[in-house]
Amino acid sequence: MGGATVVPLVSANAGESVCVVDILGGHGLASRLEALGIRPGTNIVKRSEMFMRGPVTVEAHGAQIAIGYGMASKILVEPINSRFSKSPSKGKDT
Amino acid sequence: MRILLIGNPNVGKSAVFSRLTGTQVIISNYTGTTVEFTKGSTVLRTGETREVIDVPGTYSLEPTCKAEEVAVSILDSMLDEGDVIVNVVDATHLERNLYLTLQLLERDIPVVVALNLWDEARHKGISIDVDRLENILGVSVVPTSALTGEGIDILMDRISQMTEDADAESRRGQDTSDSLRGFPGMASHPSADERWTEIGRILTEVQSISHRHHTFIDRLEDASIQPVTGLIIAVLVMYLSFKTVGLIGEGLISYVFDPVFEGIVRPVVTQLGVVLGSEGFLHDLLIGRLVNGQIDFETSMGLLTTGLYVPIAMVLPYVFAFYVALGILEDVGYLPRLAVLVDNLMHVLGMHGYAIIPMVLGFGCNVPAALATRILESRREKFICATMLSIGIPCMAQTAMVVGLIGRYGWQYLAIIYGILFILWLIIGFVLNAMLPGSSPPLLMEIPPYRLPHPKVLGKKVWIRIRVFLADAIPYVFLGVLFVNILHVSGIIDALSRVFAPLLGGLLGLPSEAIVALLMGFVRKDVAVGMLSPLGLSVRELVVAVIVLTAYFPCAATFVVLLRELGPLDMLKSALIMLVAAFGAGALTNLVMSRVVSVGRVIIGLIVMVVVILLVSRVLRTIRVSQVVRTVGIKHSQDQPKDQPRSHGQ
Ligand SMILES: Nc1nc2c(ncn2[C@@H]2O[C@H](COP(=O)(O)OP(=O)(O)OP(=O)(O)O)[C@@H](O)[C@H]2O)c(=O)[nH]1
Ligand SMILES: [Mg+2]
Repeated sequence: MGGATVVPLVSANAGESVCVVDILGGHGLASRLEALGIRPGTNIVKRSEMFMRGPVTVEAHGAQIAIGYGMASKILVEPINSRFSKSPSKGKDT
Repeated sequence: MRILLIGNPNVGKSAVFSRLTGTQVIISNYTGTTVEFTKGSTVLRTGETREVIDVPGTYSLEPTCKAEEVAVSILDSMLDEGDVIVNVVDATHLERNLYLTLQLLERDIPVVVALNLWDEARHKGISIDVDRLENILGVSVVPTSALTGEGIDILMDRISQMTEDADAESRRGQDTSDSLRGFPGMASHPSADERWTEIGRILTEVQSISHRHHTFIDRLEDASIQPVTGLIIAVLVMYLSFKTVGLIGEGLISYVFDPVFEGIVRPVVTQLGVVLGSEGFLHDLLIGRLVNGQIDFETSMGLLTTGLYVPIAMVLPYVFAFYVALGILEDVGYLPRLAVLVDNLMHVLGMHGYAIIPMVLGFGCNVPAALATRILESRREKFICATMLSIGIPCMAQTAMVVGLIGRYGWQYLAIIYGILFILWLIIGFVLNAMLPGSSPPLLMEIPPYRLPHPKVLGKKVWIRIRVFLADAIPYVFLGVLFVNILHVSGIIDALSRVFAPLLGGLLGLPSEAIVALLMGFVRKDVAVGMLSPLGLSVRELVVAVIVLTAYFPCAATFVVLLRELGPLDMLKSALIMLVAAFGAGALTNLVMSRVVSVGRVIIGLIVMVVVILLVSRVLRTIRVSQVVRTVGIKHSQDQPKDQPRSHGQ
């Protein structure tokens, strides 16, 4: 685990805990993800990635969610270094 | 004056609904089981009868597909004074579920929260302070386990209380600011950010989670979405499902239904035939034509012989077997994982992975499958899915007849039929994806946890589906048999045969009497396949006829649903594609099987055709896009938001 580098979700390693930093693309994508509880500031775990640019599966708030590759490449995440940041979805901005 | 069940997908709304009303509905472990609303009724504590409505699940009040639209539109336009909402909430995913709860509370409507899956939350070490949550939300919160019935009584008490209050209030003509209404903790129109902040605050106050060790099920869940192990599991699951259906189906036929028909039905109807004088219209109608002086259940075509034997002894066993296997897959929660696995392939065909669910359902019956296309987001996707479904997916009733009719010539003929249908299915999806403007939307779905199927729930579900099958099949089969007899007696059959002879004989190499089966196929496919049996066709003819029968048009019941879901224009387009595909495939199969053309040539021809279509549509697309950009440059960028990535299958 290196420094706090921001990468698209598709490039994160499987099994890695990451924090969502930003969601690129239009309002539509952001609000669909938001309704599933994935928004900037949410901590998620990347569970798997299907071969040949298949969907990425993440765990968010204890639920597993499959996200198509194109969509997942628009979600920017940052690896979580601290082992203690357990509390889910603390909004960064409050 | 109704009770609406609203909540996220897969939280147990339908399970609560069947507890409240006693009405049996399909309950499955994946999101999007319910795609239209179901009505039932319940008796309140006051003795009044109220209508209860089971609504499709939605994550928020901004719908993203047809099923969610149904849910939101009922709130937006249909909500009457005095309606009460039961917000069913998944206690194991409280945080995400509260988003919709807050949205509901912001509206001026009476809400009771059912904290469902309470047993599972307990099991997972999640504890929720219900009183505290009630205080914060300002509405009743009742922990429930819809499967066991725990908490449903209390829920009923609260609903009764709430409806009384709501009634009293509407009589007084009072509108807002009752203690039952509105959410005290928040501004009237909070932003999404404010909602999530509030949810975070609520959660720290009411929920605590004790640490839990990883279980075998967790590992299995993980393995089925990893590339390599996922594929192995998928192959295994498919193989086992196949085996199960075959074993149960064959077993039931040879150990239960055949003995019953041979031992009990045959003597009775034979006796009846003698009484009826062994000939004449009534005899032919009830008993049918004798084969070598004997009744032949498959080909005699009497109401009491073939009319009973086909639906009950040939089709029902396989339909039952299929629904047991499907029910287990659904309740375990495997289907969404299959969707993840096939997402790539489905994008090449113009849809995302979740479109596999209507396809799998279609192998049982195309009617619920056509309805299930509502879980797909775009019109384009629905159109492609519906067309592929109608062409390439034979329902179980038809499959059972095909196995009964053609299985005796050897499994390779079954393989030919299903192989050709699969290739046709692929080509249709591929070509439609290339030709239709737009691209496939990306996959975004929740994967439910694996659960052990509950035998009672499973049994009820199989029974619901069998009942629908019987209610549909028996009258239609009777009608079909009646129809054939009338056609025979009136001589219409000969006239029709003469008219269609060039088409059937020239194009498909079929005898002209096969027209009866093709006509019957518009009504019901299993009967249609059965009608091929007395014609004495060769295997080649049977294979061609079955392929055409499967692909050329949906059965009447499916057609009605598709017409409603697609609209007349798209249905017409879809039907034209079906006809071309079916007769094309039938003609080619005939040519190959009568050794006029070699398989190699056909494959090369098909590849060339697909490539040409692909190139032409590419060119057309480029032209279209550049025109659109030139004429309505700005509007275009609004219509196609950046968040719709190009399908990566192109
Ligand atoms: N353990 C447990 N399982 C439950 C409970 N309620 C529902 N389930 C299971 O949860 C799954 C979903 O139930 P449904 O009633 O189909 O959920 P739904 O909310 O109607 O789902 P959609 O129609 O897809 O929105 C099924 O597998 C049920 O067996 C419960 O209280 N406890
Ligand atoms: Mg439901």
